[in-house]
Amino acid sequence: MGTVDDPDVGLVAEHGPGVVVIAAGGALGSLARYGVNLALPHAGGFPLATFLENVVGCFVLGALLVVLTGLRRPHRLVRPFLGTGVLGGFTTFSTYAVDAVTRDSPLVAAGYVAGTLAASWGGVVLARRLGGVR
Amino acid sequence: MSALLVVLGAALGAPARYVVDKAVTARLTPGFPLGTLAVNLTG
Repeated sequence: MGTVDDPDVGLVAEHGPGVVVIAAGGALGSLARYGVNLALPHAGGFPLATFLENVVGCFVLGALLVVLTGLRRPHRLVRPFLGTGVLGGFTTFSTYAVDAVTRDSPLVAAGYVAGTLAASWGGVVLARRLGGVR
Repeated sequence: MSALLVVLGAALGAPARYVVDKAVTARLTPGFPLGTLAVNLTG
């Protein structure tokens, strides 16, 4: 049994709730991504599903951080749940990389790599502008 | 069935992402998002 002085108890108390809400959020976000993938299958062409997931996820994360910054005392689990969990599960860097490498056309691959980066960047910038942040 | 596996995988992967990010960021370069970089590259 751990006591209050046990560093492991402090570790669980500090990170335990965060890990739980991140697991739950990640499950929701990944399920949503799975749904988008099923709705927009791509057979070797432009990976539209992954593109949209990353761009939309970046926009929403940008908006989330603006909103949280504007709140006086946001609950400490809101950001881990929505940011690290839901949006982390909804977006994907690994699939982005694999999509890029496995395109048949180098032109499509290059457009996909640059397009995702530009649109994701733009999504965050747009969210911040809409939220009144420069 | 696949949806259930997605949920199970995500429930494992999401906390792993968090733990690696925290562990890397706590030890190295506070000004640079090295933790996120590590998570992205290993994934």
